[in-house]
This record gives sequence, structure tokens and C-alpha cells, in this order.
Amino acid sequence: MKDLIIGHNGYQYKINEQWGKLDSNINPVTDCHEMVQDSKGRILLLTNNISNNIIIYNKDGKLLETWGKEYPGAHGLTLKDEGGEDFLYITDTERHEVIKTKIDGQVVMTISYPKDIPAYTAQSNFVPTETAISDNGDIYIADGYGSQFILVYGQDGQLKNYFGGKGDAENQFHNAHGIAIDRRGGSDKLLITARQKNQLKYFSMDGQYESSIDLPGAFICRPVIKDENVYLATIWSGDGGNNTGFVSVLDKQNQLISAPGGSLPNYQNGALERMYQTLQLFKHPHDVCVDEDDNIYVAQWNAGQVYPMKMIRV
Amino acid sequence: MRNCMMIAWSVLLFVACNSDSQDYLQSDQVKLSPPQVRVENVFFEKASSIKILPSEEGTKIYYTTDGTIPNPNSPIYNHPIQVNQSGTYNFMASQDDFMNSDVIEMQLFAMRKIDIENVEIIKPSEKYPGIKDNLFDQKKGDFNFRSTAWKGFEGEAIINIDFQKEEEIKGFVVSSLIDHKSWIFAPEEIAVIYVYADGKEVNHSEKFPETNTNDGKAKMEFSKILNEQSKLIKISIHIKGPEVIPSWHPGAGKKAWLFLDEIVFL
Repeated sequence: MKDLIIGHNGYQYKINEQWGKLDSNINPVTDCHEMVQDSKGRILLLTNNISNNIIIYNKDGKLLETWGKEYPGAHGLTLKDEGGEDFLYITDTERHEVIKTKIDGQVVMTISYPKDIPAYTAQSNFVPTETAISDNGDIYIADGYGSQFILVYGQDGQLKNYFGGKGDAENQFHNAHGIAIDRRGGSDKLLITARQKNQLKYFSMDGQYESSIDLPGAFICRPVIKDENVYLATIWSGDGGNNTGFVSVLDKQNQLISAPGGSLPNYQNGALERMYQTLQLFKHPHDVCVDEDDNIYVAQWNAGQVYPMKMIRV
Repeated sequence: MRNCMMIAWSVLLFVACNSDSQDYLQSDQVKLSPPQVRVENVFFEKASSIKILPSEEGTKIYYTTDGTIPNPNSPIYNHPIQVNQSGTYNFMASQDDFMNSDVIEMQLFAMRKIDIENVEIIKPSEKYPGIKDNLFDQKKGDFNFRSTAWKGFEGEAIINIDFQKEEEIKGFVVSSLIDHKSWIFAPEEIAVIYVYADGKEVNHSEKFPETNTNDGKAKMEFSKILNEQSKLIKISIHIKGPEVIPSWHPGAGKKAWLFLDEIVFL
């Protein structure tokens, strides 16, 4: 008997695979899409199972409460402390909407498709995968399964700006699946996933492209920034085959420093060698949540309705 | 009393240790991923080579060159393997702490390079068109069917080639993908029309019934057709997947996808 320890360069973890396991007859999950931690330290899971779209655990994996039956395409979950109160932003890829709720599920705002932008001729063009909320309350929506634009709305629900779109140019996307605000460098920047290209792209808050981070072999979901690191669920890896994936951890220079479940990151002349899975532990990790002890909670897509697991940093 | 305390401590320690190992996943509950195999050229004119990338520390890669399943008596990979004829190579990762990996099979084909300039391809999906010449660039696609190395077809594909001169064609290989989770199935039948220099046309058809069984794993498929009379000026290749997705699959009754990345001539 030997505890499994995965990861590299000091970012190493033991695995509690049963952490989020519940009775599937009472609290079923379909895809476990995203997870966040609220100001009370609770861990919130978003699933597209309409029995209970939000499942709330404590850090030991004890079920605390559930809510939500109206989000069939529940995909993206972002939490923002707004004046001392937690709010959630849910993207729904089937309703083609972004929904802002209170922490108990009470809806406070719904954003539909941006009719004023010519690329959006129908609601079905809008398939939002993620949101990021700036400190002034602006809502950045990544239309990652839709028209590949980043759409910026004010708290009044009015469209303020948009940029990106589908294409091969540096400021465009193929599968803009995730978005986050990187506050590590002193000034806010947008860090946006370009998944098909295995890249993260930096944009200014007003939508100007700045630079890219190449992560070959890592089909990444949204960036999750905690202290000096960026953590990313990596849904497919290597050549992009099914049932692959690992977790990626970037250091403060945005170099891949650890890939739990994947190969040892190796840079040659400043470029990362193509990454791949080495252990069949993860199946399509879709999001990570990092708690104050640097433990990681992993939600997985298309993994046989498994509940989230917990990676305990050692 | 002291003895009682010691026994109590021992029980507590035992419980603590036990619950620790129950809480954490054990190494021997986890399987190694199949080896990362890099083939210089799956389709080659004279020579190719196979390289294996590193796995978990201390992992050995057992391999065979005759199509059989590797075992601990098989050769251990330690340097790139040189290949100069068609063959089937199998690889398995093994390390004491983990379960052995699944076996990964690689087939390599010695081929004739022919410049294909006049070709009609009916009809790739607009969603997965691939790049223009990807069926004849001698490059193998990987398991990412979304990449431009693959052309995706709804159920069937017809490839009409005019060689524009007499060509010695002893057969051909259709390279396709099986990925049932993505509704992608292998060819079940390939119907060929050979056109000879004198204008004579010969029809030939072969079925490949065993390829669409359900084991849930993505794999590469190579469907080989041999031709006795070899001097052709044209060829028409009609590649048919299952008409609909089989009953065991969650998408039963709906259209199956056919994904092709290469056609090579032997």
C-alpha cells in the first residue's frame, strides 16, 4: 500500500477520490462543470443535472445544501464579492444566457444574446462558457461555444464593449472557453483561454491583445488564479484523445511548473515540450477550485457522472 | 493501567493509519497511461523509426514487433526502433507501483509515393473539412479528430482519382479513426472501381465487419485492399461506414461519422 502522490516541483498532491461522493439517487450529477469557494469557505459545485444544479459542500466533502433546477446547460460558475455579499454568475449553454444570482439562488439579473452585434442573428449564436467580473462590476463573458467574442456588460445589463471573435489572428479565438482577471502584476489584465490552440492570451481590460502563453498538449479550461499561481483543469491532453487530461499549475512567470497526472514539464529554449497524460487518474477535468490551504478540488466533464475529487497538497 | 493505556494508544494509532490509507487513493489502484509513441512516418517510402517518450519515473516499456501482446518477457524499449518494412508494433508501460498500461498498437506501412493531382472527394462535412490535400500528404492524423489532418464525412465518402497516366497500384490502405464516444465509426465496406488503360472497368468490394465492436477505446483503423491486376489510370473508392449508429450505442439509429486522414497506395 502506497499513497499516490502526483505532481512536480513541490506542487505535489495526494488524492481523495471519494471527497464529493453523494447518493446518486438523491443528488445526481451529470457533468461536473465548475467549482468555486464562497466567503464562508464552502465549496460550490455547478452541474448540468437539473435535480440540483448547485451542490454545496464543506471542505471535508460533507453535503450542506443544494439548489437550482432551471439550468440545463449550466457550464460556467464565477463568484464575486460585491460589497460584502457573494454573488454567482452562471453561464448556461442551453438557455443561451448568463444569470446572476444571490448565493442562495435568487436571480438578480439575466443577460441574453447581444442583438446589436451583427454576428448574433439568433439566440443560438450565443453559447457562453465563462464569466469574469472586474472590480467596477463589469461582466466579461466568454462566448466560448458560440461566436468566440468576449462581451463586456455593465451591472445595468447594457453591452459596453466586445472584442475577439472566431479566427486565427492573435486577438481571435477558437474555443474561448475560459476567462479570468489576473491581478498578480499590480494592474488588472484579462487572461483568456484559447483552447484549440493550447494557449492562454492576455488582453487589456479594454480588449487590446497583449501576449500569449503556449501550453502545447494542454487543452485547458479556465484559468484560476490563487496567490502567485495559475491553476487550470486540462480537459484533454497530448493529441487530444478521449479520457485524457491532467491538472496544470503555472508559476508567477507563467511557466508550467507542475502537471499532476501528466508528464514532467520540460522547457527547451524557452518553449514547453508537448505535454501528455502519464496516469489514467483524471477523465476530462473541467475546472479546479483552490482553497486557502492550496488543496485543489477537481470537477470533471463526461467522466461517468463522478463527483468531484480533492487533491491534498503534501 | 499503563498496559491498558499502551493498548489504547496502539488501537488509536492503528485506526489513524488505517483511515489515512483509506482516505487517500493508492498507487496500485491507478493505471499507467499507454506509452506516448512517436512514429517518424506511419507511411514511408524507405525507412521510418519509433520513439517512446518518458512516462512516470521508473517505468519500463515492453514491446513486440509481431503484433502479439507485450509481457514482462518481451524486449524493453531503450532506444528508438528503426523500421524498414510494413509491420505491427505493440507497446505497454509497466512500473511496480502502478497497474500496467493498456497496450498501444502502431502499424507502419511501406508505400509507393504517387503525386495525386486530379482528385474529387465527395463530400466532407463543412464542420470537419480538413486541409485540402490531407488525404494524400502521407501524414498520419492523431486522436484529435477536430484537427485539420482529418476529414469528417457523414456516413460515407467517395474518392475519385485520375492518375492521368498508367500507375502500378498493387493495393491501397484507407486510414480512418474509431472513436465511438464521438460517434465516429470505422469503414464497414469499401467498394472500388478500377479503371485500366484500355478503358476496362472492374468492380471490387470488401467488407470489414469486425471493426465496429464496442470496447469504448479510440483507435486508428487501417483498411487494406489488394489488387492483382495493377496497372491503373483511374480509381474510384467508395468508403461506407455503418448506415446508422448500432443499437448498443447511446446515439443508436442516428447518422454515424466517418473520419479519414490518409489514403496510401502500395
